[in-house]
Amino acid sequence: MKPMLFAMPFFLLTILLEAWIARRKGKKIYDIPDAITSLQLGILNQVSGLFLLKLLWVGIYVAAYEKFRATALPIDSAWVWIGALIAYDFCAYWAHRMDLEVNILWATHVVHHTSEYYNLSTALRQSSTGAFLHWIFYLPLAVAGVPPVVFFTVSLVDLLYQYWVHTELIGRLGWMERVFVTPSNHRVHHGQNAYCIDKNYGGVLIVWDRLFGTFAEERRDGKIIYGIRKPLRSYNPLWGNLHTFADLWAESMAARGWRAKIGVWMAPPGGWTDKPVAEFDSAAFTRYTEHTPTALRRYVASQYAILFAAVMHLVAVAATLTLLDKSLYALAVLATVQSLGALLAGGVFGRRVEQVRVIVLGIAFALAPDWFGYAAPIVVKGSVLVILLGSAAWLQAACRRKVSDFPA
Amino acid sequence: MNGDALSDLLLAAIALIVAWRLVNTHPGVAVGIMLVGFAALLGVMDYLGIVQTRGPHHFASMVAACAGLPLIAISIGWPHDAIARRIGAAARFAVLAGGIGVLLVGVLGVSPLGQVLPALSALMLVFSAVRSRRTAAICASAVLVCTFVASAVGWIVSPFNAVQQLHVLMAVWLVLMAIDHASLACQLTVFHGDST
Repeated sequence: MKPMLFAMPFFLLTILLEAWIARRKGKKIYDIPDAITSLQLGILNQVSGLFLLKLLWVGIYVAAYEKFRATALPIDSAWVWIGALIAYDFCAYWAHRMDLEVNILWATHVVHHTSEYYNLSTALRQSSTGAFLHWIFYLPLAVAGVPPVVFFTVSLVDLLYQYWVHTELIGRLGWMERVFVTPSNHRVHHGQNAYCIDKNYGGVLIVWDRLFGTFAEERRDGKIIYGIRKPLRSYNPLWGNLHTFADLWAESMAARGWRAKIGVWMAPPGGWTDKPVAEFDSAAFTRYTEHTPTALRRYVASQYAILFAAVMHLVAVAATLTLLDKSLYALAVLATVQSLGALLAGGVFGRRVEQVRVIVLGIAFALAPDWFGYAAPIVVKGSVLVILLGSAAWLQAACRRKVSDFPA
Repeated sequence: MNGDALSDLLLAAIALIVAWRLVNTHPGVAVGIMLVGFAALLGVMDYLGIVQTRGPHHFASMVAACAGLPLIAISIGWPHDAIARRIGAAARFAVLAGGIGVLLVGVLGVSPLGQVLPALSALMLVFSAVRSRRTAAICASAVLVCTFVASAVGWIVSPFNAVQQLHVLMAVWLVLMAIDHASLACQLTVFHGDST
């Protein structure tokens, strides 16, 4: 069973529902390029997970469980499941805390905080490099004897729980605020106002933050400004994943001496300091936008719909594909998200790249005997070819016009 | 209580007491010693025959070897670095180095690393001690080197067995290190007292 195959359509439907409700209430909580970038990052996260990183996590956990476990906890006991969920959430608190307090881990996590909007799509704005070091924090569970099947199930529960808290539409929730992570206390976590920095790391339970002194309540007197102090200012999903690594690399190269070079990666994002977090000038803040023409936004949204179907297919068949086929499919997905990201940024180059992409993929889909195991009927092949070649033609016409010529 | 458990109890008790005394002044060294002490504490239960602690004992020993000893050596070698002065920095080193150490030694089977890292740490401690010219520090590092050399070549001094000898010599090393830090703290107090 692949839970993500069920979760992905649910995510998409609830995002559309949230956007619709927000629109009816007159709240500007969505920006199409921002939301699409979040979804693209979610897709990259899923696709990268089909390769080494998640296998690394699974492999290490299972090996540590086999080698170091104290005992094999019974999987038929409800207490084991409840205890494992609480213990997992405790480890997740520390993993998340270190994500924000250690540069190398911040580089793997930062992308989740780069959106300057806060909505359900932000929940899917996940890193593709997160599994790189995260397994370390869960080794105590393997040593305690939490069976892998229990561990991976509770990890999924913990992850899925965090989806619904990424919304501005739900206010405070009374007693729940004391025990659980809620939209209100998680909004604080995503803020860049001074009182929000390094607060509310909890995954399911907020009690860890209350216990370890990292809890902050949402203030009624000021609006939370979402995002990071050094904004991403890009719709490029790959750059979103790598920009902090690039910064750290440059900083590390500039540092003098090998200890300082290593120290850069281990220090907190603001460096080692005992000074309080600098105040944030919310009056001077403007959200990043490229004013992508509406027609192009709609185009990207329609291409995303096709991409979404393709990614569902890739996740479904990944286990049956050879490494080469899986890599080719993933490469096609990567090319698509990069191309759509470039398109959202405006500019003629992005449209040219997109033209090449739709023509190549359209022809490949039509001519290949099967699409990675899916023998498409001729009608589907023809339809996809027409849509993609039509897209190329539309872009050709679009390229002749300047961005300012597009209807707003 | 058998001899192996008793020797590990001695090591655990000394490690935890020394770590407790150093945590405010030398947090990096204290965290490293704490890892050694925690592994020894699990070892007591393991040697007492509680089979459930065997895996955790191996795990904690690996973390102590790959993260604890290097952390002590680094903190003593570069006492002004964040890792030596800040408990947060020392803790993150312990988590990351310990995790990666477990991955390499325990999971991927790069076993020699589990011996190389403590050996390098011991050599680094010798170098720092000689540079500092403090007698207790030199004695402490010499004891640690002797501990590892004796373990590697199989020299065992009666009435101990190999396990007990390792534990006892490490406990002696920690006591000497604590004496060195205490005398250093006294010197610093005198120095600051004179200067003011």
